[in-house]
Amino acid sequence: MIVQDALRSLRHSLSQAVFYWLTLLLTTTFLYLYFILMMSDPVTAGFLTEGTDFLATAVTVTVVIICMIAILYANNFFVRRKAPELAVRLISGATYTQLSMYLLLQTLILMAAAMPLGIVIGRLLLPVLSNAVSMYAQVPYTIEIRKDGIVMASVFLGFVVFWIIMLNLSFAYRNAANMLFHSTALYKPQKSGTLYLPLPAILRKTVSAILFLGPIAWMAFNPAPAFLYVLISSFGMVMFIKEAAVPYLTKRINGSDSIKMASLGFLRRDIQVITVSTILYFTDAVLLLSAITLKDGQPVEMAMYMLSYVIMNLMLALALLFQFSSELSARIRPFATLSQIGCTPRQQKQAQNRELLALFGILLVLDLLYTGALLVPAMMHGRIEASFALILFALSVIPLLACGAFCHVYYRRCIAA
Amino acid sequence: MSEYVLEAKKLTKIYNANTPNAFEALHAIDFQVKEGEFIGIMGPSGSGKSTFINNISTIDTYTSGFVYINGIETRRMTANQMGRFRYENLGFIFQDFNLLDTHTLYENIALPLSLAHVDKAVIDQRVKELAAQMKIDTLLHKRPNECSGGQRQRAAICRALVNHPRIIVADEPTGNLDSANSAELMKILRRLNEEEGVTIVMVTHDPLVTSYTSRFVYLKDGYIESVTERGNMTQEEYFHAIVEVNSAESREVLAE
Repeated sequence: MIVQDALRSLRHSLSQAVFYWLTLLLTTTFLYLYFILMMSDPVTAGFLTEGTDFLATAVTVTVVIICMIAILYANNFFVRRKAPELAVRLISGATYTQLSMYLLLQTLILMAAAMPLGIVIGRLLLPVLSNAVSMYAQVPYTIEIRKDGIVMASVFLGFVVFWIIMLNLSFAYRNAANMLFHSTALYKPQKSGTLYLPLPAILRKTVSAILFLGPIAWMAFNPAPAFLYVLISSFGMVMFIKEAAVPYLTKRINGSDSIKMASLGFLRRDIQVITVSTILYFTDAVLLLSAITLKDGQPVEMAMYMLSYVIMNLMLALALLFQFSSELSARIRPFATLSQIGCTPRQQKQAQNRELLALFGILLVLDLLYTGALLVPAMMHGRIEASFALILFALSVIPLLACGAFCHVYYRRCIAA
Repeated sequence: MSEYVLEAKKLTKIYNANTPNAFEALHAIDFQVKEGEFIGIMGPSGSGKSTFINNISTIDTYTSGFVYINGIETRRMTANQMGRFRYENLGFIFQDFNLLDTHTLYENIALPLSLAHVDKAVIDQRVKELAAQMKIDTLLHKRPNECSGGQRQRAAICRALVNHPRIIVADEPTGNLDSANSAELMKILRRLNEEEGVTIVMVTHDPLVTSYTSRFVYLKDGYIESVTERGNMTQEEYFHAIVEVNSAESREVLAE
């Protein structure tokens, strides 16, 4: 009965299951390709073990961590919708083992449907990658599937399986029935946890703006330690949101325009909710772009960075989508309240449109700032061609735009339900 | 063995504990339930009724104090033991029914037995028997969203009773029902209590619903304000006593 129940539950939450499956598929394809590629060339294979190349090691560690984070968000998005159902099972006498097995079984079904296919897709993409490396190196190159590569890919895919099992077990363990019944309530935004500066508000705003934007400007002139700059800028962004953005939005929410009040109120919450995913998105983009535009590495190494850049942008856009969609699915109640106090469906749609346009507008401007700070100088100094810079920019923008489009559709569906 | 099936000692619940927004919803409450009692819990909005019932019935975790069900301290149990304990001791009825929309009424009622790996033939017999008693035997193939509120609540009662629990915990069970269905439900609960000896602890805001109980507890601001035994009172006399306790509170507010 438990298998039957798990299949039924998957069918009931099909759209969540499809997105989770897609994340698992992308993760598998990417990890397979990444490690096969990494171990295919004895020269580049040494960079992790010898510890001589900090950037390459940082990229590998980062991409693995980001895969874990994307899966974490996808898993949360997937199980959160199941929370009331899990609560019913708990009060019906389900033990922790039964609850975790029930959750795990659904995830394992999705993994079984995603992982073999991901490896097949990865295998099919290898000739495409070989061609890309040949074009880049301007000599024929074939990526060999070495035993080491398969071992590494298997180890990391095994780690993904372990991670998913741990996520499900911990979700089943930490959730009391009461919390699960009320799972549709809004999440508390993450606390910013930044250093409190005993300064007047205007100075705090200025300091946060300098910490946020200063490193980006600096990066344009001296891009070598880009990773360090983006870390400082991320810290500044968190401070800036707390010290300047949220107070600014609060000031602008006045009683004269109900649609503006609603959309700005939601926007204020959105930027607090997605801060972590946003920081991850741009930190990763800057790290990989700096590797692509600054390094003069082996063709295989560069192919790894390009592959990581494309897939990581996709994965992080998915993570952003999952985190934001979890928030949007809890908006049913606020919109019901708006409806009760006389907000027409048209006005509600207007509020949603304005909120999403403003949010994704901010994200696109941030993308332009972060990637532009690396791409424009690289282009001006002749390290990359304009067409390549445009492709790199597009590869960062398109996943964000796609995420915005999905959020728009999902938001409409949530409110209509 | 304790003389009480359920006992709370110094039960305290603090929301957002250890934060500047900490709020103490229950203040060191002492409360006992003997086997076979039918208890109504009333109180104004925000008095802590639902918090109280959730904390004495393993649905929520209390901050300090003790809750014993059949002499076992509930917080000492592991997550695995808790599942078995709920199956053996507790049945829940909610205002929103909390049935699985993906499953038929039959499957919803069978769920606790299925989780406890009870034999299929026994499950079938027990579900059909209960459904007949609750007059929903012709609806067992339907999903909850194809049934009326009254039918769904009957299914929820069947699910709560299917494992022969010693205590039924009901949170506003008539909250989503019309008057006819409410009266019918209360008769069912009284029969269960009187004929089958099931202990019932029920939260409600309706004095008429409370008049079916044998004792009622009035909560105010997280404390037990008063306890009224039905004793030899008729249901009508008891009803008036309940209304009196509730209206005394309103009179105090008006006098201020």
